[in-house]
Amino acid sequence: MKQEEKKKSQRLEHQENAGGRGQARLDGFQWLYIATRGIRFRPDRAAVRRELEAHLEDKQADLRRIFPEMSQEEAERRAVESMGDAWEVRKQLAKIHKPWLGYLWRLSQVLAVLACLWLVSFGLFRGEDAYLGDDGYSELWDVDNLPGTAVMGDQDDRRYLPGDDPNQLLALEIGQTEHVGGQNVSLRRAALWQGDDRRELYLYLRVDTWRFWERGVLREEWMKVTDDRGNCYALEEGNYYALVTAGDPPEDGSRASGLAWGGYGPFHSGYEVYLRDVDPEARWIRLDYGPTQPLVSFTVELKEEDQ
Amino acid sequence: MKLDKGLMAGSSTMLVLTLLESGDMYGYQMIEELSRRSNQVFQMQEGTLYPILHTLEKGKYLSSYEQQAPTGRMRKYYKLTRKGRELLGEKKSEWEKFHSGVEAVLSFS
Repeated sequence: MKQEEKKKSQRLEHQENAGGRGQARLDGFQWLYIATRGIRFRPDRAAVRRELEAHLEDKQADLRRIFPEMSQEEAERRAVESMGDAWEVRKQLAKIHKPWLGYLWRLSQVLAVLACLWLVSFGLFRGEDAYLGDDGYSELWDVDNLPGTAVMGDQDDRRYLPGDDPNQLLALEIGQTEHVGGQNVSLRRAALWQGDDRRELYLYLRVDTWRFWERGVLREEWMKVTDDRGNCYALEEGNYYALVTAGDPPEDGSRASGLAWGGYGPFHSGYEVYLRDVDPEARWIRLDYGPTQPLVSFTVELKEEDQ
Repeated sequence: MKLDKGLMAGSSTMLVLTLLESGDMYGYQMIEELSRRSNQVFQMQEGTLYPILHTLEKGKYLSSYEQQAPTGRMRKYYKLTRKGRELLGEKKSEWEKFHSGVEAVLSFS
């Protein structure tokens, strides 16, 4: 059947190319072919053809119901006749169904698919802690997508996990999660280290959100860190390395700390908060996050260091 | 009696919108309903209905959806939108004016 229709289409196309506008009696297939041929966007053409074909079939079925003695061929002939001039219908349909609208729609679909592919590939292969590949970053992150499991030359990359380094006073897998404004903010890990002349506390926060365009943003100015001794750890601007290696304590007496972006994927971002000059007498520190009143609070007990 | 094509063409949009005012319909159903309501006076060339429907759909005066017929074939139903109802109101008021004008001329003596 399909082969036969294809042959008929080719014959009609050939006639048309030769400039022929057949005035002879058309059958249903020919009428549909001519009427829809002016629609250049193929999916549109197929949809219109289906609609007109259904009309022709309804008409034939009705004729045969009213006149049971009528042959199939006669019913088809009368149905086609009642449809009117195929060439006139073709002209009008071609005017309405502009091809560029269809192509624009198709282009937008292609772009949407490309955007999805980009998003997936970005999440799987390009995100620092959401990769599948064995890239330069792969040693820096563990299977939980958390920093600091690998043994690296730079001690900053192994500061979180419990180890036998005498300078590591405490390492905790915390895992507290709070829901804020459609995002899940969680405190995943903490580690307390004894530096040359001061204690340093590292906190790793992760923000998960399905709204990938927001990329799980935390606002630095909403973050406030205090301890049970009444110290306030002011966040300094700048990147992590600058904070660790340089900078005097703020003049207002608060203790230096900082926030850095650490790791990302399509649906999350990681943040490292570090307190450079932790009070040795502090038993806990609390991280509040919110504009004026805290929306989220995480408390880290530092008592274990004494055990 | 066959009507002048021009008479039908001028009012076909209004007739289509009016048919859909009473419920969603597919093309063939509209042709049948038009013929029934006009006591077989309006017999349009059936193929010419579709350019009218598609133009109205592109203009958001109609929306459409597909539904399976008992025969298994998918049928495309048309539905009047709010914009379509507004257009129908305008077309009816135009028609009233035209009709009363023609009446006035014909009854002038």
